Amino acid sequence: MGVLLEAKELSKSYASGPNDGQQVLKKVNLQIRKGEFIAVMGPSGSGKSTLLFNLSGMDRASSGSVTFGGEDICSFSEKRLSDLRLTKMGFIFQHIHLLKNLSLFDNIVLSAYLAKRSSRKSINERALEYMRKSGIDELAGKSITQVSGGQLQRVAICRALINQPEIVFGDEPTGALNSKSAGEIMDLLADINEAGTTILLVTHDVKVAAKTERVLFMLDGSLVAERNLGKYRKEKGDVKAREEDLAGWLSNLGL
Amino acid sequence: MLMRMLRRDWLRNKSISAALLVFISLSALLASSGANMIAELSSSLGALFAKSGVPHYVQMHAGEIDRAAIDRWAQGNELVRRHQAAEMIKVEDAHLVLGDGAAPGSGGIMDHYFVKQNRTFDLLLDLDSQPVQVKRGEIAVPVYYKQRDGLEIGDKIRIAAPGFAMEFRIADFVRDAQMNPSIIHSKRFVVRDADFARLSGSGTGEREYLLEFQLTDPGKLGEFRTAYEASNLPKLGPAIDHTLFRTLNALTDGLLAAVILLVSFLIGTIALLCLRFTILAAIEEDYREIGVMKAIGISSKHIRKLYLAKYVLTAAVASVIGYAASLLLHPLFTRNIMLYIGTAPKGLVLQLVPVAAAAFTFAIVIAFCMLTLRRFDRISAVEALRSGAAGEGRPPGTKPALHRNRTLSVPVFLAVKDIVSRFKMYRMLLLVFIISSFIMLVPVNFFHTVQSPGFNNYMGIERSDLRIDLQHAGSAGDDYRSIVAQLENDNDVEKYAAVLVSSFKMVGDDGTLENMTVEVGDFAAFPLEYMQGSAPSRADEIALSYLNGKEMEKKVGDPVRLIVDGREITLKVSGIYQDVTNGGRTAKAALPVRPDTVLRYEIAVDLKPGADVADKRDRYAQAMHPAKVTDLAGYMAQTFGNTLEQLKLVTRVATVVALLVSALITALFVKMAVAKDAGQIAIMKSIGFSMLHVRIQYVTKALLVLVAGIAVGTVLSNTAGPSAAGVAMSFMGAARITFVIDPLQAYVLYPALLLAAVTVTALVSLASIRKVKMSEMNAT
Repeated sequence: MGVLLEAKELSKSYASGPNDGQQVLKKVNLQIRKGEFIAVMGPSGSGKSTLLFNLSGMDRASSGSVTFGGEDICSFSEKRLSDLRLTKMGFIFQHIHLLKNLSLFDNIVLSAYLAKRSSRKSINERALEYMRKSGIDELAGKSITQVSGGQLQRVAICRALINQPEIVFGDEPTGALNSKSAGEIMDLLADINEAGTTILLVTHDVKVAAKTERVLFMLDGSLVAERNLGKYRKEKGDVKAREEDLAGWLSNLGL
Repeated sequence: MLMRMLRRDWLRNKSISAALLVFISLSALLASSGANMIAELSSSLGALFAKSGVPHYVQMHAGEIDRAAIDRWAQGNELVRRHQAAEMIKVEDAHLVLGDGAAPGSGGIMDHYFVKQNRTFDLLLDLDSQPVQVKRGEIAVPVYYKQRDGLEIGDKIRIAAPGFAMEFRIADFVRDAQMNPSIIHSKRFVVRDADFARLSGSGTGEREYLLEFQLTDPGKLGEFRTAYEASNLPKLGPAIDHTLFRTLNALTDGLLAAVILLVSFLIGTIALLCLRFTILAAIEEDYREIGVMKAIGISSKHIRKLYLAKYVLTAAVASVIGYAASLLLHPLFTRNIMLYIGTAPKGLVLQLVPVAAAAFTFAIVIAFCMLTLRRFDRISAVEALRSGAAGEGRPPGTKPALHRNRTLSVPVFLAVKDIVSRFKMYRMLLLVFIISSFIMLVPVNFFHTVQSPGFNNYMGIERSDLRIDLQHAGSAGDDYRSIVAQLENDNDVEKYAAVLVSSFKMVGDDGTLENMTVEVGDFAAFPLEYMQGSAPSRADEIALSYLNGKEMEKKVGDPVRLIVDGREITLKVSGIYQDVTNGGRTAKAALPVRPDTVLRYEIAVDLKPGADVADKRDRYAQAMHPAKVTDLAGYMAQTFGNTLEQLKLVTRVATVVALLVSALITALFVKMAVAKDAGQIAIMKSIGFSMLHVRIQYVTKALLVLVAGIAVGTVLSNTAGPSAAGVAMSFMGAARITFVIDPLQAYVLYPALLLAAVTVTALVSLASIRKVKMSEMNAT
């Protein structure tokens, strides 16, 4: 598999604000290949979310480079970065970030209508297909105040997929959900990854990370360790073994 | 602690606090300035009238007089304190050269009277409000010409009549309590007694008199008027009294002061709306803290005091700034008063008027704050602590649906949808835009109306290409017949109609006789719009001007009794028309005319298509001397020149104020909306909305509300606007104004100015969206 996203010597420090002068990312080097399913773990404040925002171009690195599809996105204009996020990236956040005054269906199709890469008819059909797969096709016309948190996160996943991105970023996508909903969401993401979409997510939850194939560990702004769970991947019913493997590894890291 | 809280609050909401400060300051500034103008006008007019010793009653008379008879009558009348017969020589416009490089005939429609300084009363004053004194060869010129033609001391005034020439050097300018305003078509030039005697002896110009009376009790003016009219004293000309002098003198600046006060009121309203918005936003922001304060037992009254302190301080500072600025701008607003009327030392009470106006603005703001802050009483501690936000009531609806929209782009659709679902939030913006459009368009439309040829409808004169005015004096009868003959033989003339302005006696309801100026002639040839009824078409009909009708309490169909040829006849009122000339009191009828009652001749002329109006005007002016020939535009420009200048100032000020207010409120609104919507903007940016998409969305919101505001403002300015102008103009004689709208200005140019101001401001204010990032939205 070819490299989709690569960070070299990526550093980030804040000149002002609550993290004034603090270096949040310290010369991070990372390669993400097409089709990978990766989790980033680490204690609070270790720089996980910052890494995700810098890799996706939502925030600009202080030094180093981020290459996506062979192009250094750090040199992109705001407009090009917007286009990149619109057409090649999808995002899922911990807090359900949906537009308040749009229906669930409209929230899903919004970015596809903006991108105008296919007809509205085919966008609508695609949205309904994702909703059906996510089990929320009955809720299309509802507003965001009329459904549960788990259902909203499924809407966010459908929205992230609507432009058929090359990579989906997830910042604690199950962080606000109960364990049952979290499990269902992770199964859905695994299916999406099976279909070929690269996924990079940040999580605290061992059970969530255990569903991915590679786990990175961050500490004080640096990637300090990596665990490959690929060997378990195809073995059905081996979830327990993956979780135990990961828990042991984390324990050795002092977490 | 309070000061620390206030300072922190100021720093936190700099732009909002600054906008509030600006609006309240502006409102206080205009309230102070308007009130000051009225105070200044009233005290200065009082001083001018006192210093000049204005007569209470003046009878103009064109012809010779018997001074002894006048003296006898006045001495025998106990109402008369002082009297005089002031002699004037009317120099024809064609014989007068005003200024060094000017040509004869540059005086226009004005009647130029050369006079001596009076001895005891009706003194003509200089620019220091002292009686004008000139030496031989010198002249003092009415301030009207200083302003209109830019004449300066040292410039030359020449009389160049056939067989007689005289040159004067301007030594001073005249403030004339009687004839100052441009709306009065007579102006007095003061020369030395010896120069006057030479002019008088030369036979150049017509001799006229002002028979002036000061009364022992001005309250008995009506009684005096009846006595004078019943006497055999000269009365070949209009009679005027001091109340009319006061009204006409106060008109131009009074109107300006009224407009300034109106604008102050509107900006004050905007300040209050802005304040309400700010207070509600502050309550929303501090909802949880208010809950905590209530929960630990601090009373609503005490919490209210904390908030009120901030607004008291803002309003107090703003009112002081407004008042101080009004002192600085005072010379600008009172420039016209200074020139025409002069200033007078004001008493303490009058000096306090502008302070009181600023204090009034302050009091209104505080009262409004207290009213709005009563909302604290409704906040429940438990609810505030539980929810942490005042909330927006019910959740926004999902309709209209994006996937059903086929026409609008995504950012524009989102803008429309936001306005529909959060209309309450946009209400204030809409209201401000409506007020701004109204403030801007009413003066523009009114200015265009006064300038338009159709304004003849408010001047009681029929619309025509040319107008020929001939005063009745000397050989006027022959001149009149000669003019008619020339018109008759001129192939370029399409039609003409002559009106003879005559003086008749009217029999009042109580049997008393009063003079009434009636235009007699053909009113069918040229159109004039009537407020009610129509022009007199039969011999037993009369049309009254609006002010005449109002004062005489007559309406269409009512009888009016006149003495014609020695016997009383009853005429029926056929119509009421508007007229701001001749003090607004005129009438039109088809009555028989006796040459000795004619005051002047007016002839309306229409030329055939293709004829050169300006060329014909100049040719007639030469051929028809001493008649005055003007085209309608020239006639109106000279009559309303001064008022138009003031109106132009009002229009400019109103436009600047409207643009400033719109820009400020847009900046304020966009900043608050971006702060409130930061989470939603971050979501949009994260899923691929570019800065341009977000900008389009917010600018579209502001512009959509603005377009709605302009539409409503335009409708209001076209409906309520003329009524407002009508109220202002009614005491001049025109109560029902219909705006003549220049579509290019009213519907394109000025709305485009507003659109540009709002667009630019919105774009500049949207700079902060660059800082909105999903990485900083963890808690939303």
